[in-house]
Amino acid sequence: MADVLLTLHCAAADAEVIGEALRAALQTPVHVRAEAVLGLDFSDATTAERVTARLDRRAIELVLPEGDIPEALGILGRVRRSGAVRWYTSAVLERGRVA
Amino acid sequence: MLRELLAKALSFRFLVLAAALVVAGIGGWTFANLPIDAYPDIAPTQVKIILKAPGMTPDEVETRILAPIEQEMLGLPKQAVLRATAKYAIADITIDFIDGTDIYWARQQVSERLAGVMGDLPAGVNGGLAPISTPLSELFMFTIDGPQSLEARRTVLDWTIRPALRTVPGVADVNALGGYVRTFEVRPDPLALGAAGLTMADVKAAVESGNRNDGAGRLANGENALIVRAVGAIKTLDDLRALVLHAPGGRVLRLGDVATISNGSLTRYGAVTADGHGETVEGLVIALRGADARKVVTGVKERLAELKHNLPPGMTINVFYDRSDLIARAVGTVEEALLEATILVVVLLVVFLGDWRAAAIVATTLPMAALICFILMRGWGLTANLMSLGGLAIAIGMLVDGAVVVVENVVERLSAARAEDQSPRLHHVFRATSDVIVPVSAGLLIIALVFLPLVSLEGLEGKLFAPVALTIIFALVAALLLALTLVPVLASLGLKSGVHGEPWLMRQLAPRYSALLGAAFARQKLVYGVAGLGLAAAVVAYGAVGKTFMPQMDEGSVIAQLVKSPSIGLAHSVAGDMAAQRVLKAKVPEVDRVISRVGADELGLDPMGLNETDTFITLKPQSEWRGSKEAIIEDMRHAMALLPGISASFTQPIEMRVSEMLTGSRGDLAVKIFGPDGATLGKLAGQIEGILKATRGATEVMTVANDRVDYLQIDIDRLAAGRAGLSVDAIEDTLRGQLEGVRAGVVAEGNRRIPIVMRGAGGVEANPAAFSDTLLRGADGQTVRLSDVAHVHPVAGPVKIDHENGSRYALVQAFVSGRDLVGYVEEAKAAVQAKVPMPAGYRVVWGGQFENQQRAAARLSLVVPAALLLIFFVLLATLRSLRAALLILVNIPFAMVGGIVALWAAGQYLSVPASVGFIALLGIAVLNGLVLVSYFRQLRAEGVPMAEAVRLGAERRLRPVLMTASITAFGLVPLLFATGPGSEIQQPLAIVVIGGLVSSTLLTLVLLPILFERFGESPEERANG
Repeated sequence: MADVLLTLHCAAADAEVIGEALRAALQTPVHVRAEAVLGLDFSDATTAERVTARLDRRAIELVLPEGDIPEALGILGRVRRSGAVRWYTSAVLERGRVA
Repeated sequence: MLRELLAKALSFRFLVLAAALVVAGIGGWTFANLPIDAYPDIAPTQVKIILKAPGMTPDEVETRILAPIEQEMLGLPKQAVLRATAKYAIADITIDFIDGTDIYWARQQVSERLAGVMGDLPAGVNGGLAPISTPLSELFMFTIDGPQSLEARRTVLDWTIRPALRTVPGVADVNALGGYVRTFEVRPDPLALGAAGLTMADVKAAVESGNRNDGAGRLANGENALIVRAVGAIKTLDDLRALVLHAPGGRVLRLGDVATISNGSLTRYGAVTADGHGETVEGLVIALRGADARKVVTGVKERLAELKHNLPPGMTINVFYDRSDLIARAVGTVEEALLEATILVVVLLVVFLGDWRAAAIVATTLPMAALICFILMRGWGLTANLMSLGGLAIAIGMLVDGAVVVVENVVERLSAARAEDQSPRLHHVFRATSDVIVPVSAGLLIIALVFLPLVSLEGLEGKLFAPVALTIIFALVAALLLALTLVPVLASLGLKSGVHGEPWLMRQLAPRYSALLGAAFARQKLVYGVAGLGLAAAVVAYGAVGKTFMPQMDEGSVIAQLVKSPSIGLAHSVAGDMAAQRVLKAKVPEVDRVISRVGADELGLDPMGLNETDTFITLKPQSEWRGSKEAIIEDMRHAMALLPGISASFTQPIEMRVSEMLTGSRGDLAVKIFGPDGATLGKLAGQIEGILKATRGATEVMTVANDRVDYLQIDIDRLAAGRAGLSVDAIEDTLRGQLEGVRAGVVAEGNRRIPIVMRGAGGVEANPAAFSDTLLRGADGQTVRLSDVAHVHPVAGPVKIDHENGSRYALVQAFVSGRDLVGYVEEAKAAVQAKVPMPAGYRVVWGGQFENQQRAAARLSLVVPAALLLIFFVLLATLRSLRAALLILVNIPFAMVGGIVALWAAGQYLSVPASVGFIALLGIAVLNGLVLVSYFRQLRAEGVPMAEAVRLGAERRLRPVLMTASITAFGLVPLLFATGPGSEIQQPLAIVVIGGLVSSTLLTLVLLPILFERFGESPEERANG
């Protein structure tokens, strides 16, 4: 089964709990990146984000077999969060490690 | 950083609102508890030494007291000036330290040096440092009236009222004046003394050694101990009479056998009279330096109310000066102006913005900025007074500038926000505010910068105007903070989104302005010509406007300073005072009470001679006046002219003390002639007095340099005295005992200390011939007359001798009215230089109010250009264009045109407050220029052609320019029409700013666009644009 890159965009406050839960369940490295999003949807933005119109987001990335996506989304659903999480997958064409 | 602050404020809106409420609460509490007085503390660090030298002439005081003390005090660290005056029986030494010196440190330095020199002073000289007071310290005065004798009233004041009031927090002392201080008086009969073989010195020694209670230690009495107490103190007149002088051969000689023992009084150096009825007793409460005047007066009133029930029947305390009245009226004037200005500003905001919500949000800045300002004032140690609150009133129009710009931009942005724009509303508010952060903060920074020079002023003007500048700077800082925090928060909560229409006023003004601008561009030469004419008119007006230091502040009360013949006795001086009181009450119906104080007070804080009187005049309520206060004083002047031998000059309580504090003299102008010889000084002073009197504008000119007081000089013949067995010391002691009296201990009556005074047999006090025959008893028992051992003859001597920094000087004082002080002094100076040649070693110093004006002008001529340079740098940093920054500065002279013309048209003088007005104007003119030029540059950056950019920019910026100018001007309108105390200071300032704003706004809106089009860009920029 091919590996895919799962990218999640969540509120900064939720990044740690989501990352920990995914790593524990899927036993895969989880990358967390801070992002400023000049978004259009401010429905779940904090007041400070509404003021600056910049959403303070975290991008969480992990590579996992395509078949594990439902489990990962299930974990997301179970983890207690403060805001919505947006996700998408992209194909991983090749991967490796150079020491 | 400011953007961060703004973002945080909008992110925590409810926290900001809560913080605003808390700050408002603290500000309100601070205002209620802010120390309050009519004026700021204007006193330098000053230490006064007052020494009483009973019976000594000014010459003796100079050589025996002033000389050693001056020698010791000159060279004290941080000393600014050392002034000293020798008068009859009084040495008054004043040491001014440089500003900022701690008063307690200064007193310690003086105290240490004084202790070192006290041992070298003649016996009988007593006194020391005066209380820590300032010219503003005399804040409560009252008379004690009733059927009781003057002695009984004085006793109540000295021993009941004074101790009670001294415990009120903030009271430094209570000066007691008038009446008689009770003594136990011993008048030995010289013949009886001679028969008994005793001298006055023997009697004095016997009285001193026969008046003591003491303990002798403990005695064992079984298991107990007895404390042994020996009682021998004199308690009654009979105790004194029973005192045994000696008992040769068992024949007891008592004091009562050779002397008359009775109740008497201390020699009087002054008296108080009231309302032409007779003498009375006066109490004067002196506050500690830095005390909260309002609290002290309240405390004093409460204590007096408690004491009222313990006074003897019929005795009343009648207050004739209560500083809290002046405080209430002065602060009330400013508070009223503040309130009226706030209402005017709010109305203008509604008119200009056409949106009551926006107006309400901007108006919130006013009370909030004021409340934050009070907190900062307390932190800085400023008191609430005429000047500091006046600063707030001046700033009121400027405080809303930042908020206006922010709210206007928010309204604009919310109107412009398209429906499809999904950015949050908070973001629109954030962007709208952050877009104007730089101009708002630069604008407020510029206005704060223009007021900074005032903080650098020195002397009296510094102490008066530094609080004004600091208050304005505090309020502007608060306004900036609010413009970037509370105002956007309120705007985000209160302003509605959607299209806001132009308000009616702008719909009327905009097309007219557009037409005016078009006409101006079409006739540019005419505009330049009009502007040039304006400048020429300003130069002419500047020459025509008189220059003075400060307008005279109306304190409500009037003081008439009466001067009589220098040799006048107390009784005749008192009679003259009462005649003056009766004339004033009869001829001037507005006069309510007249209380006169002649001579020196008990503490010696104001050591006047017997020929000098301060007459305190209280007026009836203004509703009962026939005319202005000037007219009333003129009536008083005419009334006083009816009295022969009395010359009167008029001043006010605080004004008088401030003059005395600053120059050691009274009057608008104090000319000091320094030199070594008294006669030459007198001659020069006389010549200068004549010139000052002949110069137009002088109302009262006086000098005491040529006044001579009559002395009865006793030249002791050493041979004759030695032959009679009399030493010089013994003769002088005896003579002093005859007239002044000699202290011989005290009698304790409860908490009272009654002095025992020995005097001559009496009858000689008013009889020089009898005094010359005073019997003196030598050591060998031989009795001789004074005239046998001395040459007794009348001579004339000086009334007083003045020193400054150890040099003698003669003083000529002048009061000037109906003319500017500087003009008067310049004319008089030129005349003195031409007509009075100064001998070698003599020099003239021109001081008084004039000196303050010269110092202030010199300082402002240095620091205002420095402030302009700073403003230039701020403009350069904001606009990043040398041409643009210079163009804005070019606007300044045109702003001054209206100010100086308005001043001239109003008949006001160019004083320090008017200069403060010009300084404020400078800031507003620069701010208006900045608003316009920065927008021109913005349009040019957007690619708008130059001709269109200046027209479009000017039309779009019409509203903010008109708003800031009119709000500032209308904010000052209440000060223009205020009539209470202090309004005299604020009026010239308001006239300058309002007049200047008219010319400045007109020229900003018409001339600046033309100038920018012509000079705003370099040829390269124009080519690139």
